[in-house]
Amino acid sequence: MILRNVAIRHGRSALAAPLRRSFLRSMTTDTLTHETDALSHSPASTNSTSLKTFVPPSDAGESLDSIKTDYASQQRLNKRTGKLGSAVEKGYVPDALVRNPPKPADVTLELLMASQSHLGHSTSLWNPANQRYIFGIRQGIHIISLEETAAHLRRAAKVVEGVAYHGGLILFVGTRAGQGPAIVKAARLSKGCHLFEKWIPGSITNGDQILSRCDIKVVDKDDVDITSGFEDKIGDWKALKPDLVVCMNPLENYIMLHECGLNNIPTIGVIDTDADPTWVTYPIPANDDSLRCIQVIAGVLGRAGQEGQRRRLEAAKTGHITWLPPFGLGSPETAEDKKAAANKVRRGPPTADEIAAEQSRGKSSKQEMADIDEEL
Amino acid sequence: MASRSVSPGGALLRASRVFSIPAPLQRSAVEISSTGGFTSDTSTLPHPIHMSITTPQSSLAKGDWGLKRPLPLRSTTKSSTPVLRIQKMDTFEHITEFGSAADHTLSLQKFLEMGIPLTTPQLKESTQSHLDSRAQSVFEDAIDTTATGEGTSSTEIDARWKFSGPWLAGQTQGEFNAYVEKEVRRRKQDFLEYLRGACSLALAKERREQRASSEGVDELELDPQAEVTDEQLKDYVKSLRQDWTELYRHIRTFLDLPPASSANAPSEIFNAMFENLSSSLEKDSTVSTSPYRDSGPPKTHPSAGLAYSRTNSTLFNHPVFGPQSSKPPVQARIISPKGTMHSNTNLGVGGFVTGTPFNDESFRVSSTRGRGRGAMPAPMVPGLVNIEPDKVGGSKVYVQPKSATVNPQGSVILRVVSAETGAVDVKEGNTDHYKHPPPPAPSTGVRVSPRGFSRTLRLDGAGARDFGLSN
Repeated sequence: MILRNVAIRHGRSALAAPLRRSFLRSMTTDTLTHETDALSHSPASTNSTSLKTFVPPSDAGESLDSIKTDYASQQRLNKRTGKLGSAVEKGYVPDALVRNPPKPADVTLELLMASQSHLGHSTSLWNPANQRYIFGIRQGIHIISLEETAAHLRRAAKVVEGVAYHGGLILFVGTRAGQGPAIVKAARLSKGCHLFEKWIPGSITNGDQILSRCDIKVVDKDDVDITSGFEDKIGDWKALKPDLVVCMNPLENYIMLHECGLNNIPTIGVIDTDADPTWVTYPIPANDDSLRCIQVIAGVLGRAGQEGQRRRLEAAKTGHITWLPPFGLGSPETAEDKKAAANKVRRGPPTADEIAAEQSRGKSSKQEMADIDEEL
Repeated sequence: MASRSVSPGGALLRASRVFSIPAPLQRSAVEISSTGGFTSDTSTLPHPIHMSITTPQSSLAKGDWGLKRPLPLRSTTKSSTPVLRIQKMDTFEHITEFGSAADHTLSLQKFLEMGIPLTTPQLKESTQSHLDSRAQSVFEDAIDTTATGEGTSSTEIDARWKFSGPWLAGQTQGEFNAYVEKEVRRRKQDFLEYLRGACSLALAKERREQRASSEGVDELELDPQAEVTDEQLKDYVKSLRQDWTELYRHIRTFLDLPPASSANAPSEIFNAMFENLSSSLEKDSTVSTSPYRDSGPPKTHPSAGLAYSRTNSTLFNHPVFGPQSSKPPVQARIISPKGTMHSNTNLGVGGFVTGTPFNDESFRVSSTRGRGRGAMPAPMVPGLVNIEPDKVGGSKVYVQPKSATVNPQGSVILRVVSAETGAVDVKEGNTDHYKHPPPPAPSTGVRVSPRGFSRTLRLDGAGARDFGLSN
């Protein structure tokens, strides 16, 4: 810098008036007692009404000077050391798909490919019924078309969302090793049931015997338990049937899918190139061996169920009930009803009170969920 | 090539990592030898044929390798080198076939640690000198080329490492016959067309020489684009049958054959074949400049992707003793002492087998001098002569790797020399008996530099010799 120009360059700022008090006031959150003193004694104060409403702070607490200096020193320290050190970047979390599953809107071809959904089985193992889903052959295995997977996954998500919106009971099944956490997470999101152990054959066709010791509860339109009034009716009720079954490994669960078919229960299944797509109602052609692929599919369907449940409760708040109570379940019995029934008086028509039953697997299921929570 | 329009998913799949796993190479054929070698299906191959795959530690703990299915934890997590090669993505038994690829991965790591540059192979005529002065890096611009554009000189074309034709010197009789039957025969018409072009060039050259000698030539005859008549072509072919060097040049150019194995060998063959044509032998003085003329052109790039340094001329900077005159030596395993398997002794250096350095006194195991002298000096490396059964881990010796070559069969040929004693002492930390140099006498006239300590580097012995490390 040329020294003779210093005065020209900086003379203006040196000669300028100091920063006005009012600016200082707006820049700090502390109250300035000196300023108020100065303002109150200044003859040029025009806005006297506002000054009268001003209450000067008391000096009862810490001295204001120490607060100011502490604050200034802290600011100085932050300014000097704020940029030091290294920036810790977000690392790779292997089970991020389980902790925070993607939504149906997040399903992209990139996500599906990254989760190995395109890797089918060896070409010698294929089921020709899957030909329409197969993109080609590479490294001795069939490659499943990513577009087909995405389209079928979105369709299945719509189905799950619709079933959840209409108050259906969704059962998530994944009985292979390692599929448990994703299945439980999906069931929890969609307020459904989960199964990650062996399917007991006959749980649907012979549920009255097999599931006779399970509990059933009745909830109202806002999913609040109705504790009294249905004891007698529920006592006759043995077991519930799911309204939708999502199966992650159809090959190992043929019996369950067959029972669903016998009972007209729609099924969604992950169909690898060696599985039969006619076993399920809504196939999702994808790799059923990769845990990451199962986590994506279960997570997407769970999120879809969560969205359906949210919409159902939202509609219920506005008085719009999207579902019907099970056939034969009337209004809750009150003491008067019982008295009237005892008197053989004909019962009135059922009210519009909305009731649902939910199958729960009892204490053991809750214990398992708690265990999986700890694992997650 | 015009790219076919593919679906978005197809484009993604093409760029995916699983698709980029290359198809495995063929296993190198077992060498047929009358002595009967030791072959094993499970031994480490001379070169890798599968891609090595690894995964982050967090995914390894879950068995997630990005493949068809998670790999079993029991067999993948116990290894300290979790590097795999995938043999099959899926089999009939619903199993992903894999094996450990730690052998080649660690060999590559050791090779990179040794810092050896890859050089061209030794030529036949230079076998007498151990370290060929003409050995050059495979990355030199003059020889690291595959393309031949218009106007490239014949020596440059000759020095390529990649040719479309086979190396005839390395073919068996059956392979050569099959090549002639299948490849050469069906290109006969093309070769005649090629000869027609060569004929027109030759005629044009001849006319130019004629015009230079006598000015009275008609202008019309000088048209270089003149069509070659069948009669002229016939005469040209006749002349080529006499002039075999020219014919051989045309055949090589047409079939894009690699240069012949040696400058001397073909002339000897042709001497025997064309004894009456000895006059034309003087023309065959053009020696191929290709460094691969003796070993044959390499299958891959001559470096084979092992290392990318051009030179060995790097300085090792010891953290305590400063720059050293020689690099840290490498401990080699004596894998076959004299007389165990073959007559020659072998060393294992960083996973590669190499012979002991000849022309080196410390590795000499048999005296070339007469037995009558009696006092034969014992070799400095005792494990070379006898197996030392009491040595834990086997006999070892320090060597200094100098250069390496990948031969067309894919095996690495290392060249090592014996390590310097001082370098071995520095490596092992036995530097107590070396004298420290005397501290520089404080001279009164020295001005203290304001920047602090400064030292001058002498050209000779800046590091090790200062500390008396050069013996």
